[in-house]
Amino acid sequence: MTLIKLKDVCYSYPNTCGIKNLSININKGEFLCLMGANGSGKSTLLQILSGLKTTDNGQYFFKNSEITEKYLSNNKQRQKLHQQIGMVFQNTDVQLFNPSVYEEIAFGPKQLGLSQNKIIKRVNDCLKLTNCEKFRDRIPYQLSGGEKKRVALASVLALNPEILLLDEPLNGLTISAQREMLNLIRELQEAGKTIIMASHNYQQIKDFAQRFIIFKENHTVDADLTQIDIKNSPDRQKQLMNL
Amino acid sequence: MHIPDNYLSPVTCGTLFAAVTPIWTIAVIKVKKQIKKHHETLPMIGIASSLAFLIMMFNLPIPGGTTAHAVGGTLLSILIGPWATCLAITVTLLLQAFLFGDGGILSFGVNVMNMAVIMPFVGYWIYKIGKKFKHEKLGVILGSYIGINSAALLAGIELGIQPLIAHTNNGSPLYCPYGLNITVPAMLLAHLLVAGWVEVIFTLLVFKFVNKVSPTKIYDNSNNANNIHWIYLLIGLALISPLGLIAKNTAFGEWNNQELQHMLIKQHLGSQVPEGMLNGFHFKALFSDYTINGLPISIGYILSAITAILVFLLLVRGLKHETK
Amino acid sequence: MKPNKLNDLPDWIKNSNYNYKVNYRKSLWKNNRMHIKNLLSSLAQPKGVSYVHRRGSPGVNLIQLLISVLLIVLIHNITLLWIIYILLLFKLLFLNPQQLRKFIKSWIIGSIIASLLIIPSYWLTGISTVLYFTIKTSLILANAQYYRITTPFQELLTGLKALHFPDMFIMIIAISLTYIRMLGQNLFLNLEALELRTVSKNKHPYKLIGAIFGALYLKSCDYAIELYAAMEARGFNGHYKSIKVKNNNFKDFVTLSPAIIVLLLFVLWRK
Repeated sequence: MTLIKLKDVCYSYPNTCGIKNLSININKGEFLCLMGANGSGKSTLLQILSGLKTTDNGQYFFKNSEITEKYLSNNKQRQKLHQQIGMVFQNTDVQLFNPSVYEEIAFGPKQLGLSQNKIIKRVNDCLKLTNCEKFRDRIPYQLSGGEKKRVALASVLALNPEILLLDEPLNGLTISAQREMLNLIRELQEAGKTIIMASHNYQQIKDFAQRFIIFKENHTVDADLTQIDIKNSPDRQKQLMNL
Repeated sequence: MHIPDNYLSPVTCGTLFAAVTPIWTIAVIKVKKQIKKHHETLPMIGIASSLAFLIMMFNLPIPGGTTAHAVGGTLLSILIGPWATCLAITVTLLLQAFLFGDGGILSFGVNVMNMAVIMPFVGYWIYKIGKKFKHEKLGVILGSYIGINSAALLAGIELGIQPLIAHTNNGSPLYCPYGLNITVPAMLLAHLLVAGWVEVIFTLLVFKFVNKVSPTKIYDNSNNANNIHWIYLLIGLALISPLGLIAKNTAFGEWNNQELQHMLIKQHLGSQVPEGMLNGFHFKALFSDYTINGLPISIGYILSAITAILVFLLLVRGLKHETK
Repeated sequence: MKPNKLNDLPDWIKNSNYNYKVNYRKSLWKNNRMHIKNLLSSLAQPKGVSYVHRRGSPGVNLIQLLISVLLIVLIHNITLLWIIYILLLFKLLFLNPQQLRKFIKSWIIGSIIASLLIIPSYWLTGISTVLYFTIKTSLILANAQYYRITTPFQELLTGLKALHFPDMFIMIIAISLTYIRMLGQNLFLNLEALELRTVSKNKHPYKLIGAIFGALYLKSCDYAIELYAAMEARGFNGHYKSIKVKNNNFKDFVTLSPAIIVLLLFVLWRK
């Protein structure tokens, strides 16, 4: 089932281009990886998918509704979109603003009208899944980079979104922590979630992501390949290893 | 509360600019001392001024459909101290004037006095009183509310006296045309009812967060070394108090009945002393007019000044709580 | 992080139920996000400063601005005000067309707002006050705006230094502008992240103000320490050297001359 349809999506910043003419479809349950050099448009695409930016021209369809400026100006529609799409930013510092890790994770569920017991259960589950139990009462912005990433992921998971957008989630993590996070992400995908992840570390994710979209430096799409395609093409592998 | 140009006469602008200059000087000296202890004070003031800038840009919706914004003067003085806040908000006002044309060029001194001096200091002192009596949050609330309203009151007065002090020969005002009866109520109402509460909410919420999360980052000036400077200043002032004798006339408002009658006649305002004053209360002070029989009058002045200072210091000391 | 097996995932993650209620009220954060975004974009793009050829040194420009504004405030003679207007219009000829359009637009808007505030006084003091006030205010606005459009920020700092402002002030002003961009960007991203996690009605929306600005302050405290260390490591010691601007007396004279002429007329010509 196609969840997301992008047709000729473009976005440009005041002084540079973000994305040019992007047309892809994303299905439910996919694990898609966006790859490309820094500044090639991966973060921009994730921001458009989450509704933070709108495409200059072209169309973005989410579950057959076109997401436009007008669509997002309606509070009900915008909030429904945010309930279904969760995003972890590249700079997790800006995402954490509550006085403790517990409250950070509880922030989302509290708004959903769940009972107090359900909220407590959700927060504890998220703390356990991301292994943040030992610093549940600490102040988020004082944590180390890797710990912050885990807290950010936990706080987004607590909303139970259908689609997870992850902007370079492995940055700043140790190799073992990266592996654990990727395992968690894969399990979430197997449980039915759609994962769209931006990364430039092919080596780490080559066995996890099923589909790779590669961006060129001129902000257009170079290729849209499956995991197997890339494994069968040594040139491609070399290109991705050298990103 | 930014007063633009052309609302205030150059005299007002100049006077207040001159009044603010010594305060800036003291602030620079004090901050330089603070920098020697804590190196990061300098960039901290820069950060404080950009925080104030962003706070002033942040609009909160209020009943009625419009929005209002806080100033953040009291909040910053609680967080980084009043002297540093004075410099920080001065810089904020300068940047606002340059980048957005908010506030005037000549009236810069006036705006600084209102928002960078009155507001932080009044707010801070009330907060300190609250802290001393262990009611910190009440101190924050009262400090921020009274701080912003004092600034608004002063601004209203500055605007309102313009028609009185600067007008053409036929009476039409040259600068702000609205008198005290309009400006003061207008400024006070807007701030007592709306802007004051926005300021309180803002200050209290951020204070609560910082206090809960990291209380060490709140400004704490509990060392008494600075008091010594005040004493020297007071003694110096006491010693030069006889300068007042140079003026031949009695000070404004301090006339006795005969002098009052004389002044009234001179200003064509009447020829009789008001009845209430003729038969009213006559207080015979111990040393009236600062004179002691047999001593030159200047010594009388100095002795009176020193006595007053000592009585005041004893009063303050007597009211002090035991410090741990 | 221990590797989790599939059946370790809690049930609520495996279900996709999206019937949560939403909030219809307008969010106070969205408008502020736009507000701050506009601020950031106006700060980021150097405001197309147009260089006028016959410019004096920064200090002289600043003095000229101060004298002009002071004179306008002091002068009540309509003829002199008219002469100032003519001098201003002459200066405007040297702006490039795009700058000129921008200038006129913001000048007119500013003057209209100023006149709106003063119109109620018509019923108090008569039409002459209103007219004089509007004319003088629009002149002051024009001069201030002209200075702003033709002066890059760095020159303001140089000018202030030439007027003997203490080094500390200059330094704080310079740092503040950088920080406004940085903190503004941080605040903007905070609001974006907040927007993404605002999925329904928040019971305590105002508590977030404390959280966001409080966190901003605390993060800045730590950042300030690191920044100062970085500055010291690059040789900073708090003292700005006065850059000797090539003394071009002719240009200074040209910049100051209109103000001096008006000053002389003001002093000598007493109606």
